[in-house]
Amino acid sequence: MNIIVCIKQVPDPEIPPVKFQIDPEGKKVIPPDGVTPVISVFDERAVEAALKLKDKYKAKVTALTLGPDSAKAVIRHALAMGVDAGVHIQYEAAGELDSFGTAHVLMKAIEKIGDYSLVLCGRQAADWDAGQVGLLIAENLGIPVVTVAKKVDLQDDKLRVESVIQDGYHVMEVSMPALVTVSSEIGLSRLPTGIGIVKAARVKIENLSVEDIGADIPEARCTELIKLYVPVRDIQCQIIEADTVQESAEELAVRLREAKII
Amino acid sequence: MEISREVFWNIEYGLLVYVGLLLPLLIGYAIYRRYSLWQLGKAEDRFEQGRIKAFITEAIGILLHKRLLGIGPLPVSPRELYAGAMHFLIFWGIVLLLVVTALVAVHDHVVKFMHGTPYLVISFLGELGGILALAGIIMAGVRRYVQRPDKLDSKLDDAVTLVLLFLLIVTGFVLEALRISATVPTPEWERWSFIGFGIASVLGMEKVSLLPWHKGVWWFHVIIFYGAAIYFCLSWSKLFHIIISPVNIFFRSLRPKGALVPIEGIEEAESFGAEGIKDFTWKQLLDLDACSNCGRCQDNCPAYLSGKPLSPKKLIQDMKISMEAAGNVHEEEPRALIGEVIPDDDIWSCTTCRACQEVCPVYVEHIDKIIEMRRNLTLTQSRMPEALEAMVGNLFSRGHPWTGAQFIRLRGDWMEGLDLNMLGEKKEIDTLFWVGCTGALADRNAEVTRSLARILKSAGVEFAVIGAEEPCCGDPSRRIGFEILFHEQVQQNIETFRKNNVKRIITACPHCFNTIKNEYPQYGGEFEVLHHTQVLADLLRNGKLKTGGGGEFKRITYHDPCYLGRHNNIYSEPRYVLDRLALPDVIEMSRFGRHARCCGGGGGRIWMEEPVGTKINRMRTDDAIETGAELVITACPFCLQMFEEGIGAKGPDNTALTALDIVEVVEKGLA
Ligand code: SF4
Ligand code: SF4
Repeated sequence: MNIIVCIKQVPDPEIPPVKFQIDPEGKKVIPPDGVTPVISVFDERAVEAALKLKDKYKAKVTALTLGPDSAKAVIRHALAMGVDAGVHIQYEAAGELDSFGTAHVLMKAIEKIGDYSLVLCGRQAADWDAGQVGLLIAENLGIPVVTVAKKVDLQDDKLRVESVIQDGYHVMEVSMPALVTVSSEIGLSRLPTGIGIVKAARVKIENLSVEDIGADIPEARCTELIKLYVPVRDIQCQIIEADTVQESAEELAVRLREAKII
Repeated sequence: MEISREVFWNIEYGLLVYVGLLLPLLIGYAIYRRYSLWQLGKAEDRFEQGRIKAFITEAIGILLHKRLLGIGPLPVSPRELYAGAMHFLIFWGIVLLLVVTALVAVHDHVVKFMHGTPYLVISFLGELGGILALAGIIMAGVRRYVQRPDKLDSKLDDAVTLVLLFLLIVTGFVLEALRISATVPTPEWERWSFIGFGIASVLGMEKVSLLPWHKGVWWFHVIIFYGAAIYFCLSWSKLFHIIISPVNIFFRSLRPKGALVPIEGIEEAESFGAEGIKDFTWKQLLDLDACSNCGRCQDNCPAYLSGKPLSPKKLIQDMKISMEAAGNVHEEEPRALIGEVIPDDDIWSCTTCRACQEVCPVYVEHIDKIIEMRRNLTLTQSRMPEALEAMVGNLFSRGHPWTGAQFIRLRGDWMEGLDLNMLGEKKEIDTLFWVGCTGALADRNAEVTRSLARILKSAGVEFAVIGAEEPCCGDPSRRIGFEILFHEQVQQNIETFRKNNVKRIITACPHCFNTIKNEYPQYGGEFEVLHHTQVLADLLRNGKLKTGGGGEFKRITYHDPCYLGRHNNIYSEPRYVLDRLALPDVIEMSRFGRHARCCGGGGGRIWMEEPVGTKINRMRTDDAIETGAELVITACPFCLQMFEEGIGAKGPDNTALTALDIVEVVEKGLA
């Protein structure tokens, strides 16, 4: 069985919120200096899901990413965790693409890799949280999709996927090839092992350009970012002073009523 | 009568003792049997240049029992002094006896020189040797069977050894007494053999009737000697340390004390570290036979003293059993080394503080063995405590060990408002202030970092910093056995240093200091590396820093960080710095200097839980409180965190102790 896992490099979610800056004009996020971007958490879980299948059945797992030069690091990460191969579609302006553009390029890459039974994605990326790309890739490829999986397994020649819903989970049976988006309920992702890191260094990551895979970057985005801002939270504190507790309680009630809270 | 004696006198067939010349063969056979065990291990080059010279230099100290008696600037405890004196007496007593015996043989067969004064002096020395050895043996008996210190576990071999030695010496004296008693007339000068003469006076003088007794005891004495020799050789008794210890000391590590050995060919390896006993090198296996089971290491091990399952002595002894099992010495099912013979918890309990190695009289290398097993656990088996998994994950993806720290602060935050030179901006600056992950990311430690930056600036030291982009030095990865990350980190860092023409590196962290100074050269990175205590001492010495105020503390104590003290011998600089400030004298804790108790944070322990036993840092905090000091000063970011936790756990009602880094104390004490 051949599995392709799509992974994305995102700014480290551990960055303290106060350090997060944006450029409202360029509508861009400016991550602080010296903080290495990381693999998106849900994508890491998708790698874990693939490796769980690999542990149990014979499978070849390929990690696929789209991004600038630095994105190679997430492929290395996946290799160190135990995937077999890595494909990096190097595109410096990947951040400009919207979900449709990204899904198009990834679809082309998947077609180029070819011969796959399962594509795994994180349920959403830890930066924009759009949760679109997986669905759109499946749409583009014309294959079935199951979202927010907590377990992926084989049953005869089909996939058996447990998909998280509010108070429990659905069990779905899907024919292959299929695409599954993975949620954190799949379980903690394994640590890169020493031998994994050593072996990862020996694997040659396949580096392809957008042209190599025959993707046409759409001229315009399908979705447009209108405004990017850090929400301002204004907290004011008033202390009600009165002689007795009763009086202060009355005054508080009046003020709350005035503020239309009660 | 001439002052002399005939060697075999009353004894016929006395020449039979020279069967003893076969002894070397027996000893050779015993060594050969063990040698084949050491050969189970892997190759290792311990034949570097300078070894012979190092051995000779060391030999003097060893003959004088410097380590055992604590001769030098830092003394040993009374209990250790007792054991040291005991060994000194037995050692020199037996050496004297052997020398005297050898001289007697020379006299008999080569040149007759024992007449007159030489004879008297030699008999006196023999007498003295006997007394020294006997006193030592009695002290040993009292220690082992009356005082029974925890560090000694007494086996049958210990009793046999003591009894045999005791009998040998006592029969020696009795023999002498019988000879004196039975000699007619008794020469006056026999008084020089004062013990023998004393006993003879009790037996009565000029008693020819004692001649048969003399003969009997003589044979008894000789038989005990040979019996003992055969027993020692065939049972590989502890007394064999007489031969193996010097060999082990000869082959001891000549690496810098703080440096671990790299994994050779790590990029091609398929497995790492030591999974079984045969994965250690021959020298690591020789160590196991050299260990005399004295327990000094255990007595100084913070893990053992705080109730953890690890005892460095037991570790070595258990590994020895594994080695013997692997070499089919006993009919024993070989058990898995890691997990069965040495439980994982033992391997993770070590703080790599080096207290064990610093006191081991035969230079056993405990840390290397523990690290080899950690390497196997982390790299090959991916088995480590949960907290370490998080730490490794963080090191791997974020490049520093402080999981979650970034939620609060970023690496470059400490520089705010300090206006510092960034590395690479000015070509002429070749001094780098290396901050380290802890000094940059932990709030409390960042205060120390800022303090040091201010002091360096005020003293006119030109330096640059890397700031937000500064990576990890590699110490945490290496100490937990995750060598592959260290291997990557070190190469990257050396490249950065070279690219920016860095010549000199100053750091406030003894762990970074040790790694960059002692381990980077393994990768060709040779830089002048200074710990801030050295820099501060220099600045004070040459007047670049002027001391003045800051005398608010009445009693102070200083804690030696392991990686500054034991691993790098920096004991006097911090004390010099404190001496220069308007502060009261440092009151030393009960364990200080070479014997300082670890704070519990080294060897990656700071990132692990400590559920078993007492927390090491709390014990160290108690050591500090015991001195009555209000201020405990240290020079390491981990130690500072460990003390603050210890003080916090006591609560403000129970202690008034404060912990500061030496830099902060200096800053307070400047004019
Ligand atoms: S290095 Fe320290 S903690 Fe480790 S075994 Fe030796 S004394 Fe114990
Ligand atoms: S390792 Fe060294 S200190 Fe420890 S018991 Fe053996 S000889 Fe003594």
